[in-house]
Amino acid sequence: MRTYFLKRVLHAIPLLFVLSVVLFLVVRSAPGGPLAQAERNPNITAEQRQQLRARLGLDQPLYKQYLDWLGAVVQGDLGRSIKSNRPVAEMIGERIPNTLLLVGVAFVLTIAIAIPLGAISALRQYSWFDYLVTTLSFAGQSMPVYWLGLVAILIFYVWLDNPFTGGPLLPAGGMYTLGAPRTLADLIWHMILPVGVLCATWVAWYSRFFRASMLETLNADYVRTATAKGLPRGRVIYGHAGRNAVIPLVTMIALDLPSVFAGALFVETIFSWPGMGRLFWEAARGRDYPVLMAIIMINAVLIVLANLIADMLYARLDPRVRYE
Amino acid sequence: MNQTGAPFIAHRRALALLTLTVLLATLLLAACGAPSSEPQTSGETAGPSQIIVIIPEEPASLNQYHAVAAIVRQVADAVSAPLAVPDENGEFIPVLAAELPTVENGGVSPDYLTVTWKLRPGLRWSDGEPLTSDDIKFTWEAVSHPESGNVLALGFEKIASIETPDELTAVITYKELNQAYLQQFMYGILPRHATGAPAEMLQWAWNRNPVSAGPYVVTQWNSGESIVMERNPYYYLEGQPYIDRVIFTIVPDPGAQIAMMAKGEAHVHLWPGEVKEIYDAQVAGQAALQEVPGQWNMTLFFNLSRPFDGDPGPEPPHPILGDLRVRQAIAHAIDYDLIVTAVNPGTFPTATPFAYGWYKCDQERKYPYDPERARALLEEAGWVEGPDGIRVAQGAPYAEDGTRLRVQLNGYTNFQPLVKLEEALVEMFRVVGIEATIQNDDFSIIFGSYEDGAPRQLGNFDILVYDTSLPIEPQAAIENTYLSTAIPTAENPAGNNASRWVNPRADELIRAAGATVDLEARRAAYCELSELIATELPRLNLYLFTEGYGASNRLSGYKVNMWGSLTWDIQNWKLE
Repeated sequence: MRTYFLKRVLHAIPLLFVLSVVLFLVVRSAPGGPLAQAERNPNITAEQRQQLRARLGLDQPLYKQYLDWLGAVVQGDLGRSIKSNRPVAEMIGERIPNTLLLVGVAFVLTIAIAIPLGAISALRQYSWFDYLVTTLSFAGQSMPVYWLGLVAILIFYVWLDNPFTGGPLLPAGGMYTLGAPRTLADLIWHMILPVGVLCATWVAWYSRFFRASMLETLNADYVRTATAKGLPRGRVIYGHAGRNAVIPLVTMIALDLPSVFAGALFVETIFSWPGMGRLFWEAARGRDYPVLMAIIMINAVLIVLANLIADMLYARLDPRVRYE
Repeated sequence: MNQTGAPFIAHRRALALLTLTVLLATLLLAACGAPSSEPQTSGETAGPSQIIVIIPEEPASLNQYHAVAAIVRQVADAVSAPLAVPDENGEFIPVLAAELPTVENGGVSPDYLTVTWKLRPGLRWSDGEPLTSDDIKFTWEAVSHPESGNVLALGFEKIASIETPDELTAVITYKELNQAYLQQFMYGILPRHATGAPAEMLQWAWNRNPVSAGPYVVTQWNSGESIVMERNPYYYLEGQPYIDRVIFTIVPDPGAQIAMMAKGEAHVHLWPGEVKEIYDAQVAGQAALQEVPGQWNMTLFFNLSRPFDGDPGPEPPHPILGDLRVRQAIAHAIDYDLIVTAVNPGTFPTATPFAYGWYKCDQERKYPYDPERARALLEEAGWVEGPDGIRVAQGAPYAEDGTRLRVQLNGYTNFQPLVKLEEALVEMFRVVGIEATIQNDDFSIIFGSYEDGAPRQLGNFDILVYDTSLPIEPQAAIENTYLSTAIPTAENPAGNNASRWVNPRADELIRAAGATVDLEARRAAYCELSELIATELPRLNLYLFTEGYGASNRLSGYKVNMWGSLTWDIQNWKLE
């Protein structure tokens, strides 16, 4: 197992290298450039723009720009943002905790809610509860998250008032109340709407998925065997059906995990949450190449890692899977 | 690992369960009991007065000399220390300077090569250190350093020396004429003691936490979230600013922005992107859009040269638009009144690029709305009506017979008024037999560089549609836009004469305007240029957008200034 793990890690290195070349080319082949904003600024002359290009090294041949970037990255230097001239690592470092908090909490809550929902729904197939869950999950899947976010703001911020203070029931966005001391309670208060909106759509997906997975195992022969040999119902459900139903879920979770770092662009935008999704979006719009490359590569690493973790977990969950 | 594995995992599992329980519990608690913890959102408490300003994006820095994006100045003016700024009428007024240097008061030498700035006595930086003429000298040293990263064209390289005979006086000697000498320090002076080496200006900690001589100082910068400013105790105006704390909050979503204004939670809303009637209705009487005619001038740029021929130069002529009569017909086809009243309501019609400022020209339309005249001109130019109403070439000077009279309109995306305008133009053009298609691209494509392959720079377009502007000192921009030498090519990739317009008289006028400081003479030259442009139609100016911001009804004392930023007069704002 350990050799297998090491082998996989070693394989990942050339993979990431090739990926970096491809991604660099993709990022650079997007039309436009980081100086488009300068073009719109009446106070910046053409000459100044040319100087800016030269200072940023954008007049160099592409392969040289790539090698410069690669050389810095392998030494742990992600470079400086074209837009703000701040170290990219610092900019990402500011955003990652915010995104982990928002998406992480939403993710954990989603799993905590979706698995029981899916399981109960499967165990009581065709009951009113099952119909309710499947209907709601259909609705949740169909609603675009930005629409849901705006409706949430309309209801909980614009329409509903807090009976004690007269202010809005829930804040429209941000992480803390502006101008007030930053407390944990205030933070949680600001997380309710964005986490709620994220959970609403994710729970819909996950519960449906787990329901299907659970139904499949409940009808499997080994479950019938387990029931037939007189095992208590609880053991059958948790030990046999549940455990096997979780396996496909692990893949899904593992593949979704990188998004915990990548952030949730729509929710971050609507709720003014300073996370990674927005940083990436802003970098993409402004063609801030160093920031873009850093975020994309971090995500590439995370996806490779998440796949590895999923494979490792398989071995734990499914005794038939063995890696040598 | 094998020995410790099982208990370790059990321990981790317990920990994870615990964390989850705590998280859920706090969430539930917060949901029930949070009212007590929710602080006041309005500024009505007895404590310090506070306003919340919505900005849609985060400034990368507060150093205006690095400001590529317009958002920087909107925020940075609250902490900036200019010697003089243009007021809402476009006339310079002194800020940290005791008075404006002029020839009359001896501040400017008769040859305009020596300018003497006098500071107000007793000025201090926000850290209490005295602000002296040496800081003016340092600003020149820092900004003109080749590694400073300065992007603004302010003519610092034209300065030969700065003498500081005393703490209040800076004598600037220019190597050559600087027509924009009043503008020289309008983006603020820099404190020598609190910044750093000019070569490291891009990395100064000052850029995000400036020692200021403006009304405010930055006290907190929460990346992606908010910038908190408190009043500068050493601000030169006694008792000002009136508001103790200003919080710039970054709210990217327009829906959320409107909601915060409608709730009265935010007091100022930068760039609402909505026409006044709709905006005022949306914010439900809590605020109103305050606006003035602005700098952004919606313009059609005709390509006079053949596109996609691999040659960015002015020859050969565009098969359709190379003929002046076709451009005239297009101009006659546009219902200008309809555009400013119905298509883009709330805009101000103009027929010239020189639509404001001291150089404003009263330009009349040479080719007013007249579809009949448009049709006649097209017939005359060899474009006859085809079976589907769209004209085809038959004896047109630059197009092969049978060529369809089809042009493409190129604009940028994510800007609704532009799309509406283009759709209206398509209809208006069709009436006279011109087919128009719309191709809008991302901002960064339209305004990309020659090296990036931007169609505008390479000359691969028919008609560009976007809004453009002139700064208060326009000469450099005019030179780079209308001179025949400013056509973008591989040799001159940053040229801005996208229309590929070549006119010897225009060249003459522009050069003459650049050789004098006499504003009246310059204005006369620009207005003759305006006449040439309106006649020859390398471009067609349509209207000015309004500029302004949403302001709470509880806010007063502000003036919307098209030459200044949102915060240019923030020291005068009052909250009721």
